[in-house]
Amino acid sequence: MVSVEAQIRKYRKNLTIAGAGTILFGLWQCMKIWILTLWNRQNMDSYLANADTDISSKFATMAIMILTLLVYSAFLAINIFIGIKAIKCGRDGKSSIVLMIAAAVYFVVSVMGLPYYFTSQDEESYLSDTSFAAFLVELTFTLALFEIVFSAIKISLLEKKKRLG
Amino acid sequence: MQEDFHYYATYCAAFLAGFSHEECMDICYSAQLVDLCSRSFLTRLHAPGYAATTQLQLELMDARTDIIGLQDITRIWASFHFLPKDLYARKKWRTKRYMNKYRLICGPNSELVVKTVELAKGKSLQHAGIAMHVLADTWAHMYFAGTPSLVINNTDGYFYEVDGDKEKKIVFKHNPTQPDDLEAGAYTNSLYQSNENSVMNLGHGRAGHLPDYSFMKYKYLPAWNDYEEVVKDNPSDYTRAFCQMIYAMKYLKGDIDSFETDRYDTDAIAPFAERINAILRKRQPDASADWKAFGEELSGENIDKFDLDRYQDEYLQTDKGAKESTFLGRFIEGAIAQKGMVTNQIYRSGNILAGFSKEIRREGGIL
Repeated sequence: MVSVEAQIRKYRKNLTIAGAGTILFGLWQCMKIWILTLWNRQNMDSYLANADTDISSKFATMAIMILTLLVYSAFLAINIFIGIKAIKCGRDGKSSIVLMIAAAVYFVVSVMGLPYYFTSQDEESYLSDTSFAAFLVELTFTLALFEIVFSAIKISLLEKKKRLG
Repeated sequence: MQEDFHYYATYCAAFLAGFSHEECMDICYSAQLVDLCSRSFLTRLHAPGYAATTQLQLELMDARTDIIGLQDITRIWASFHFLPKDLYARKKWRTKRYMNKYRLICGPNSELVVKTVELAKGKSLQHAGIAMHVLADTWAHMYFAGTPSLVINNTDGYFYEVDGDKEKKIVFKHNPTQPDDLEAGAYTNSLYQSNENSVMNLGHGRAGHLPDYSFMKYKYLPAWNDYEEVVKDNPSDYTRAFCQMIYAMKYLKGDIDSFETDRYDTDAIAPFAERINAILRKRQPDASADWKAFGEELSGENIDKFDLDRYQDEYLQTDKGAKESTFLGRFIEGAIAQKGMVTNQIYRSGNILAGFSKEIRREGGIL
């Protein structure tokens, strides 16, 4: 029979590791999009130049780039917030409602996005190697978020059990 | 354990068991030699390399960690420094690969330590010294395994020195050139390596020298214990090791008919309990001076400083056919017997981590 203390230590460790994973995933995702965006600038330029619009293609390209970077920076900020909160909770042993809610919402959003890796592909590029690899990474991240929520809840329940003796 | 216990304390225990000063010197010298008899040492003597009882840091750096290399490492360390406690231990939901390593975890009062002491019965004093080294290490090195394994031997930041009700966090730094700072609680340990079979994960490297400090009482989370903490009380364990060594040596001397586990000759140390307790609990990295003084008071004789070169000339200058009768020759014979016995027991338990083993009887040839 594993003691309550041992179980608390285990879930605190899981929180710390999942939190670190969340931060790393956020950094990876951000870096991926930034590199793709900067790399594809010429393609965007020529696409927008041929588009039927009054807006100058250079201005549009810049706007799309900045918007993309801002959106993914926001995602990164959320990842870092959840990650740091999880690591702090893992070290202090004190659970946080804010962490549980944020991680739970992000988990649901992440789960909802998983099927799009399969449904959004066109016939030529259906589930390419790159897409499958990205799916696996996204799945791992989703599991890390689940681990954060689960561990935070378990720590809360075990601490209560410990207090009640 | 280190020289203070393997050499000087073993001398004291041997004297209290009734051996003469010269016999005590042979026993304690052999006990300490186990920590120094490497392949390099044996090569210089043109002695058989498979009698090695330890591996130097430089040898370990070059050691292979494929299955052959692992078996070689395990044979040495499990036979002499981390004698397995229970070769048939059970743990739920674990693979055979994990269990092979789990079953090599060292601990005192095992069947193997009985076999170790019984193997030395009727043999040379050198063999008795080897047995005493192995017995003493089962107390100091308990909870670690003599095989490179991250999942067994790893530790983490949860490491505290226990002093009554007070706990002080132990900080490890990876600087082997700097001595441990006992006052600040800063100690050296082996570098974290995520590779399961890295030699950094051999034995108690991840706990640094803490198991070898007789004064240290600490708690930590061993990797194999599922987040349950373990409290290691070295003063208490070392006292029992000392008393058990006296009991074992009385058996080897013939004063006792059998050697059993969980038996300690506390009567022998009763007149000196306070002195021994003070030595064990004194906060110092090396208690050699104190044990030496105690031993010299007991016997009234001078205990020579350990000198690795002492018996080398005798071995080198003796003819090949007569080497077995030299001091080192008898030590080598004892080492080979001990290694063979332990390797055989590990193999018979269905564990291949120490390699294959075949029993050969001298009279009847190969079975």
